[in-house]
Amino acid sequence: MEEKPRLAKEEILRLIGPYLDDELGVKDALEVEACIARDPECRAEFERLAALKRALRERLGGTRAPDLLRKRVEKALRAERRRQRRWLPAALSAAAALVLAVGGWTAYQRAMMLPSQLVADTLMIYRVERQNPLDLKSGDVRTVGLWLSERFQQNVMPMNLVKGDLMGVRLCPFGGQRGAYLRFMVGGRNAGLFISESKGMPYELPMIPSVRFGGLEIFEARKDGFHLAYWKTGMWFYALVIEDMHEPDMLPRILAPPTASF
Amino acid sequence: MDKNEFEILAIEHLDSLYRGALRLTRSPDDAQDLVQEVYVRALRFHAQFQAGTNLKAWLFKILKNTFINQYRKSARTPEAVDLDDPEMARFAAENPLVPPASSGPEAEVLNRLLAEDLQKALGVLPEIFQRVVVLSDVEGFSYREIADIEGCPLGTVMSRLHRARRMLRAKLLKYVEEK
Repeated sequence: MEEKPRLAKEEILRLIGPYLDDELGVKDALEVEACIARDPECRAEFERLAALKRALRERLGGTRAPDLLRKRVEKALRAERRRQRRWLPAALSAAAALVLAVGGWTAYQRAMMLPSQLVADTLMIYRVERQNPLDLKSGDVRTVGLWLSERFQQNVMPMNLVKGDLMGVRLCPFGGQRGAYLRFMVGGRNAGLFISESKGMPYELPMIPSVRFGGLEIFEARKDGFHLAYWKTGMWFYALVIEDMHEPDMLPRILAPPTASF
Repeated sequence: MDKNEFEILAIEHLDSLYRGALRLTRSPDDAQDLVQEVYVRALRFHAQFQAGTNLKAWLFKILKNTFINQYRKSARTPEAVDLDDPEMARFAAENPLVPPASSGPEAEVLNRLLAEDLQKALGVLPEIFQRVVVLSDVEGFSYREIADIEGCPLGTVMSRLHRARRMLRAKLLKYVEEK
């Protein structure tokens, strides 16, 4: 029994061009071939298209470029090579200047700016911790200090907030190190102070501090309405976050120098 | 591929590029300027050419883009032609796809055609149709390469080519009848 064609004749007629262009898959090509063999209309279409393709190729494909053009192109290419050679040193100088500029900016960032990851991580931890219950509710810095020293088995040089009211403390890691979160209210604003071991801290503080105060080098940043300040004393790393503090130069008025150990 | 090797291989396609440029500009002088510009650009950006791909197709792509960017500013025919365009509809109405019944065995007629007839008939087709016919039938590019040169889908190449050949045949037979 003869196999029924998959494709309608109209479709096969449309595929004769792609068949002549060798663009059909095996199945379609076989079907087109079968149609050409059995159907006069398919065969006529095949012959017409083949004749057209042949005519185009033979009559129009023989035009050659003038000899002069070859010489012109070769000359233009030599000129282009010379131009590229001239521009190369200039381009290299520009690239070197760019490298220096980028390097300078990187050095500036290292010198002046806090790592953005530190700021982002601090705010993320702060937003979480300000919701969490405190482990010890106390407004007394010494009590909180003693509670902390028992847990850390270390003395901590505290930083009290002169204009702040201590609410209590909660143990929480910071920067992957063991530490604590002290909650304050400062002039009606929420604030939090993170204290953690500086050894192993993944963040690097810049080279130039924002402010020097009470023998400390303090590094400040502002983001999303938060004021952040970082410093180190001894083995401890401090991160202070104050909400909605937009006044400049407030930090020295808020921070009290370390006065006691616990 | 270093610049020397690239230049040697690229120069082999000079005749094809000239033919392509001649068809686009319709002026031997403009075609030579265009081809020279194509080679300079090709050398400038030769690092972007992926070795192992078709250099001729890459050069034709530069040819088309250079023509559109520079030479087209003063050209006559509108570039944007699509099948729904009113101009295309008028062209289609004036140039029926079905060849006249009285033309006799069409293949015979087509075999006797002269280069001038072909040039003339091709020249009145909208440019996008001229290009696919030339790229396929004169220069021998595959549909995939044409799609790459023209920056259009493969299916569009197929349909344009189908339509272009039918238009061209109709036009050619009309010329032969008028002779």
